[in-house]
Amino acid sequence: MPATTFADPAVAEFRREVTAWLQKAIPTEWRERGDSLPMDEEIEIRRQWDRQLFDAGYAGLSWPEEFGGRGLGVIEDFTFNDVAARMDAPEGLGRVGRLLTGPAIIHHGTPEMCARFLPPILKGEEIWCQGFSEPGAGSDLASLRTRATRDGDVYRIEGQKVWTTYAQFSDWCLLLARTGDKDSRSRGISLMLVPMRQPGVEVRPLINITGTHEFNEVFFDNAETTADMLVGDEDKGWLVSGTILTHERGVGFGAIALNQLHGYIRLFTEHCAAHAPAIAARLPEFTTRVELLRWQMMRSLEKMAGGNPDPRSSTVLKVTWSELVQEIVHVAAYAGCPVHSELYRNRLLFHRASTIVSGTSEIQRNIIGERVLGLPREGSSKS
Amino acid sequence: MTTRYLPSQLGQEVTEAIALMAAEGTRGEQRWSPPQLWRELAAGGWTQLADGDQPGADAEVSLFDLCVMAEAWGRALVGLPLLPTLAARRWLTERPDADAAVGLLVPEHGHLLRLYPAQAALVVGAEGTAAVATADPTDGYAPSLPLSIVDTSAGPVAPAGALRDYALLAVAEAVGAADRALQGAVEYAKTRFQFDRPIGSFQAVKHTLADMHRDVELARSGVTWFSNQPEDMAGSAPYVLQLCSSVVERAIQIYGGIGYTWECDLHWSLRHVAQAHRVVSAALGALDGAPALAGSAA
Repeated sequence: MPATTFADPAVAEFRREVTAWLQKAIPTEWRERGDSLPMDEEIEIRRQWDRQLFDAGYAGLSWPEEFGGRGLGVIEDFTFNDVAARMDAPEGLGRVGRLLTGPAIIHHGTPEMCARFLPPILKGEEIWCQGFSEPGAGSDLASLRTRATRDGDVYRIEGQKVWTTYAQFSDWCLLLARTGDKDSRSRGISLMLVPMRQPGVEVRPLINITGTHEFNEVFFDNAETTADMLVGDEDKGWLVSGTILTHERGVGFGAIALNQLHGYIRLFTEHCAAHAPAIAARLPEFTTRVELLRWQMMRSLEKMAGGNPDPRSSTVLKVTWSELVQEIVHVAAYAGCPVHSELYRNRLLFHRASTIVSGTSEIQRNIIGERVLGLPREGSSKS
Repeated sequence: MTTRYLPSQLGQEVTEAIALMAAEGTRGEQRWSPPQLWRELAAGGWTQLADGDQPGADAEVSLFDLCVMAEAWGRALVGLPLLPTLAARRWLTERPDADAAVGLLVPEHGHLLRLYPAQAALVVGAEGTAAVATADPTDGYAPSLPLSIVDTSAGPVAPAGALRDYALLAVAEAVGAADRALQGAVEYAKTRFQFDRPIGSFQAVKHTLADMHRDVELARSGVTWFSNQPEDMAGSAPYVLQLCSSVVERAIQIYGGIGYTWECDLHWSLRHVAQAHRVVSAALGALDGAPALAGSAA
């Protein structure tokens, strides 16, 4: 039975279980030099991590038991991510599969799909990437133009995706493509599973602001996938992707973001405040703001776990943590801590992503304004 | 103490009832301190809500439930000492009659702040006994949270527990006042037209309102936090109250010129929140030096 409150003793027991497992499971070389490992070694550890998660029964914590999961809920998901982030555990390469593809298939796919795809996702044997954003469809995702055309038993795919994290390692792509006419917007988009290892798919690297290679452009030129790879009905992919993204933003980011914030507060308190007056001056306020965010998150998770989810609460969380972490590293980078200034200058670059990724702050504020507060859309002349 | 993030069913019902009653009581000419509303509250048992919430007692309404209720009460901006009475009654060794309004004396810069001086006939002393208070003229700044400044001989300083409980309820009340301003500003932005459009359709206004919503939510999480860990209030309650204040300040900006007048009731919210900031800071500042009651609620 999933817990419905953090006060449930089962949650404390689960936390102890996870902590004990992680103490044994995190590989020594990751513990010792996780930050400085060469890319290929890092990727190898992360691949193994997927398998370790599966062997220990943590791969599908909140998936239903009949699909190989543990049948737990958001509170356990959060607790696991919280402990893992505190202990600097690796993140598996199979994240997109576990967080997006799995739930999409479980809730909207066919029994055949479940049988074919869920076991390799849980075991980390097949890696997934997410093919949503396009050069011309960022914030306005519904304007995407990658086209899937039905041709007998297959869909033929033409177009380009971008910001495709770890496409270079992926076996499959969870793809949003246009199946309706070109002006059909969200009414003509389908969600489908597309094999990455075929002649019609080309992956080109995009080096990000810190100099690492996570993102890619993906070009589809007469690529194909069979018609039974459609998740949900044709033209109905928008709603399916919307529900799974809400889940990702709410639970997936939360614990990790919170732990990044706690990490800075710890470092400031234990070291930097004594050497950098600009950090000392802001530390009490930052501490309060991080703690407020933590309680906000727990409040929202308890509502979700109690069967009373507030699908928009993730927007408030996202806007808050992303801007707070940027403010914190901004202060830190220019505060002149004699020991950590190099770290903070790198984080200044790294955290620019926070307010852009998964819906920019501007889009989040539109969502809060229009869907939470009920304000009229831009340009509307009637209320 | 059990960690609580959501109010109990009973707490929710109490909250709805009190919000309704407070809203009724604030209609019409007699906006502030209508004695009939106080009589209603006392007759309904509302002033005794927290009496059962003692260690070992069968606590039906938790401190967190009271916070949720205090937020609803704050939304109505009523100038009656319900919250100090509730906080005081948790610490009184002998409970006065249900209709007795109890205020608090809070130390500030070598004098005392007396809360609700014209409305509360009693104050709670260090020994948990009720002392009779004289009626003083109020400072007039915030009719929903009136106070007077009196010298230290005016009566006993409230015990630490009552100061702490009141500070918590006052923060929750301020969140209600901020939420009232936010809801008003949202409605205004939907109905006020300029350039042939509702001003709420412009992102400059919409995003301001979105930030105000976020800040009210965070302040509400602050109340949840403090009701579970009251010792953190000293460091962080002022920040939460500033969030509330800044929400009301931005609401006034959204209303534009009319928000600067008494035609619009937003100034009551700002006055209330600013006053709450002063009173809560004084109460928390006094906590170290305030007398503790042995064997009372922890």
